Amino acid sequence: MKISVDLNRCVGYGQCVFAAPDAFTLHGSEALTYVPNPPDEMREQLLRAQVACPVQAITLGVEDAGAPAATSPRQDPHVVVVGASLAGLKTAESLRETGFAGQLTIIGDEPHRPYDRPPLTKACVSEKLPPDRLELPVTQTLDADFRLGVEAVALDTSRRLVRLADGSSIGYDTVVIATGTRARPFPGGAADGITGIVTVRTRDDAAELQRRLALSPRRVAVIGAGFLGGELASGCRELGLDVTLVEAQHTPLQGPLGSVVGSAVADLARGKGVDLRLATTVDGFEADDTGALRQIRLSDGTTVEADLAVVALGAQRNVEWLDGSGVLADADGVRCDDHCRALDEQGEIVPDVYVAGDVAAAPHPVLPGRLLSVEHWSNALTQAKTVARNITRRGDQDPVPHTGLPSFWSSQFGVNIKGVGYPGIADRVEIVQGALGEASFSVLYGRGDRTVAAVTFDNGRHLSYYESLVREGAPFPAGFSACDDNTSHAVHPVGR
Amino acid sequence: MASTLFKQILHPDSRAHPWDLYAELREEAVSVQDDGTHVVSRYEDVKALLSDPRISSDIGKATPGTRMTANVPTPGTAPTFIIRDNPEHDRLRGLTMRHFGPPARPGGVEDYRPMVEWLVRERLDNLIGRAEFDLVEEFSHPIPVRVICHMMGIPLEEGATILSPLLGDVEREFMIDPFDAELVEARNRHQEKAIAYLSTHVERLRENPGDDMLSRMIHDEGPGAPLNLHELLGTALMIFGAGHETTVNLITSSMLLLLRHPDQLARLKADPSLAYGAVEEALRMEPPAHMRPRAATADVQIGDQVIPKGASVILNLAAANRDPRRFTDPDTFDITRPDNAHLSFAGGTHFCFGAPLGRMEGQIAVRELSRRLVGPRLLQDPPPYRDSPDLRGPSELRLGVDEVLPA
Repeated sequence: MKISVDLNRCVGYGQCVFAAPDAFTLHGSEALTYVPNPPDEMREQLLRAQVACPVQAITLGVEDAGAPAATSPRQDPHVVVVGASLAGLKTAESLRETGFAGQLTIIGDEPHRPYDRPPLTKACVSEKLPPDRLELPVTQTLDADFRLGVEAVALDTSRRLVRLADGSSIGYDTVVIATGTRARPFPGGAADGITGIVTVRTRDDAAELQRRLALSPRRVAVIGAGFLGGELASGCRELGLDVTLVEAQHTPLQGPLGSVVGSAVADLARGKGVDLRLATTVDGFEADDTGALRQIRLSDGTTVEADLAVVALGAQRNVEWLDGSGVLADADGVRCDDHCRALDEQGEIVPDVYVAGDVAAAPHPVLPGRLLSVEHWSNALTQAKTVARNITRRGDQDPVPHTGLPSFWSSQFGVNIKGVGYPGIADRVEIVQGALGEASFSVLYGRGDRTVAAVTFDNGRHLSYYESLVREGAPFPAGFSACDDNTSHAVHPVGR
Repeated sequence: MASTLFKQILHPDSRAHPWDLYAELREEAVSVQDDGTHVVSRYEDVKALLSDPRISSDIGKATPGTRMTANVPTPGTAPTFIIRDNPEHDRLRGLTMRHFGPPARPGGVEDYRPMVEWLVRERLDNLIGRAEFDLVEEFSHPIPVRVICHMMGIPLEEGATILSPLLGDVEREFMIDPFDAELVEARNRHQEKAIAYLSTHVERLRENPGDDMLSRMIHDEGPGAPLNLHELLGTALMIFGAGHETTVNLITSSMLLLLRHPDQLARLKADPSLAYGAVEEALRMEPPAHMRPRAATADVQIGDQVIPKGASVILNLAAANRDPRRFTDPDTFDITRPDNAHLSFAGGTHFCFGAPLGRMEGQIAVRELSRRLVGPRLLQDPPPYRDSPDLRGPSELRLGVDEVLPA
């Protein structure tokens, strides 16, 4: 079977764990992991888990998801989705849900059917979950032609063609750009030619990391303490491995969440025994005679004896294939309007070209005048739905805008971190529930006098309220009194 | 304008059919009662307030003078996590959950499945040959009482004859009228007797621990453990009470609904896996607990109304579950209803502790009842109800059957 849990909605009530303890696991008070492709014998348990979820976040896939059309072949129009990950799959699924009856083609550069990426840096490390058991469920038969293992190399908007690496091309009536991102390699080529330095973005990457972790490295160096770096370091500690986490900024997660909240993460990491090197960068890697990593030189003059390094320095958008297409795309993403329609250099809509997921650079009503690329699971989902609705709308219907707020989660060092909004643009934080360093707390982020984001540490059950404050741009600081008896109410500069 | 709707709901004459009064409550986002209680009954509002950090479960944070604030905590026990805010809530609940569910005991409730299956079979076997019986007395009541006794290491005889009747009295005396000194006095007396019984029992388990949850709590040597005696007694009393009365209601109400809707019962008979959806739908339409008391620790705006800081708040889960703004045909019983995110187990910090156990008992019960009762029919509809408007359920459910099949 194939299942998925929308972990943005999940707040850790744990009802699925009670109902199906072999499929779901609760870590600490709130963080959930699950077996995405459980055996069919668990069906009854999973049905019980699904009905028991108080926030209805569990999807059980249909059994015959891959089945072709039962009767006559699909007719025009033809929608071609470029990108076979979450955004691409959800676009296809949403198209069928909204009644799209035309032809559907999904192109993916990886040879695998769409799978869920978040476990790659979480359960695939800490629980040794096999990366080939992550296939995403669909709620209905897609009847789509999957072209997998072949990259799209060009988009010809005048002839309405997608050109593939194998020399073939596919004509479209509508094309959806959902090519996502790839891992940013260690800069300057310093890691080239040395074995034991990896990145984690794909299923195959995670399999390679698992293989190397199973060899019991003396020490794992994780380079970059963003969300993924923290998760990887945390997972390696759970395996009992020695871990050094190297971060150029003053705290983990300083870029996305600021240093006030980041310092709480630093304490959590140290509490779990991570050797945390802050305000430090990697100067170089040393290999042994066989070309295998043995030592890492750091900017503070020290060295780390490590035979495995995981580079977690963020992602780069897969936009190169759009060169010459007329669609405006660069390192900041593929420009689109608030209806997820691709734009050209002049800011004009490119007909019948839509954008969804990590690769999109889109405006948002909460932040007029700014374009945002949001590399979160939830954004792939909400943009895919917007794209599908706009593709299938009738001629007399207005396109719908994308209004989904970014939301995210990350489980690391025993804590579930959840957030909503745009903490990256805030200048101050207010502790509104609990206190930094307590088992659970909540913070609001303000830009000027307006609330723009909220983050909870093991306190996700209250996030829906904070989301309402972000959505209405509520005054900042909020100054309300939470019922928690240990609330500090402190306001700090966010710390960048 | 102050309303007296809530007083009408509390009146025993409304017990069988409070739904029209609830619909009236839903006409306003907040219905302010004559005693100052603010009743919230629309789905989206109740759902939001269950997770709102400004809404406390510690009734002591409300300004005195309302019915709710007149209900004093049980003498001789510490306040339970049900009425504590964080961080105390998480401490007390965590030390209890450690012996019941995840993360420490993920299979904690599944471990009881064989026992529940056995109890259900045994109760139905016992009815073979009967043409008429009271489902509450023969089935809905004994099963949860036996399960909870087993969990707490209480000898069945003592649980059924001493503790359960005492708590039945307490429950009856609880919500009707806290201003009635005689009732309050009676309630306290019954509660004290229950505590006295549990104190003896805890001492017994301290000396001779069994393989039960309460023994494990008493002998817990983990971080922060064990609970002190007052905390243990409060928690044990709460679990015993809340853990069986609500499940009695759930089983009885599920069968009542299925018997009122023979088409749905027929579907369940044809596909036993519909028992899961049937129990969820019964939970939505006939929640075992109707109302949750709360206190506002700040002014809370709902639509164009404000719940002022210090207000006593009632979150009307049962009314929210039938809000037509959220549920299509909310008064229709549909065991395959999609997206049935009812609020019967509340939500937020105080999400029902025992929900997984109640669900399991309910699912197994309705599956087996639908399978083994041939030609079941209600002999009295509506049935008589127990007094409580909150922990609401039939006091008996007389059924006629053509036959009770063997297992």
